[in-house]
Amino acid sequence: MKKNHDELQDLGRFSEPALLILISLADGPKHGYAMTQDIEQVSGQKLGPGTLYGGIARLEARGWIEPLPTDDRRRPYRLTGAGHRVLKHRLESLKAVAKIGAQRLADA
Amino acid sequence: MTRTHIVRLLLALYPARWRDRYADEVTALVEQTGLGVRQGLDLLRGAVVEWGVPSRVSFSMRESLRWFTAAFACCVVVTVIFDGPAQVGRSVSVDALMGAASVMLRVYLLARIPVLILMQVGRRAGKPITADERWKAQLLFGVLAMLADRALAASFLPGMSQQQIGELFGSGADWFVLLPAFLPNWQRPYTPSSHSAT
Repeated sequence: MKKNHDELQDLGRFSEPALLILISLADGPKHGYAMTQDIEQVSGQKLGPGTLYGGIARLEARGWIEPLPTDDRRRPYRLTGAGHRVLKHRLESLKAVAKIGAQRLADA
Repeated sequence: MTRTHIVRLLLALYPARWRDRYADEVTALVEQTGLGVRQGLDLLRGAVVEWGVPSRVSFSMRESLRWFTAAFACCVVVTVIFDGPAQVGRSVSVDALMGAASVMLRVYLLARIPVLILMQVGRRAGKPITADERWKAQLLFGVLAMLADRALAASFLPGMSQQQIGELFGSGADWFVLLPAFLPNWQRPYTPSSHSAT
């Protein structure tokens, strides 16, 4: 059975921070500091500045997030249509994996 | 040495292209979060990673090979058509392939320069062009460059014979190879707050 290609996985070691960034932007635009705060609140992980902007750069390069115009140095970013699709697909994959894992635990 | 100085020092380790785009934002972030050992090491690791695996979009090897083959085939066709019937008979020869490679190199460079200018203008205006826009621009300028190259080859030094023009615009024009060496460094040096309007 051919499975849909999970594009987020192509980011390799950046796929996890990238997923957290996409989730953080899912409810609206945020700048870097707001993202770190939100990600820490949601996942308990505090992304360092190098990891955060490494992820932002990769997501922006793929057109999954985009910067918004601002006069401030703290530039906000928002999810694009493509980013929304990639995030949705990734979350569905995780949901399926989690369901199988829970099922196996229950059967053991 | 203040925190800002340390951040600036760490950001200096990043590739200029990356620094030019994100340094101000990272500096603003660190000003809010503070700079501890962990953040410093994270920035250092980020610089190493960015040099090793650049964040810009790159085609996979398979896609690159496909596009290269398609572009080269176009150049062979263009060389055979525009360089006259004398070349048709040897279209599969090494000479024709060398001619096509030379055309391809010139077209790539002619198309690459305006795209780099567009990217630079976009960055300075605070609205960097997206990967999709960059790809479309590259394709458009590629076609224009191909037309310009052929028009130039057809009109350049009318007194020259077809063979002489072929030699001039063939492998003899390989001095173009030197140009890419300068292009990656053609970037504005990082100055703090360079992206902020205020």
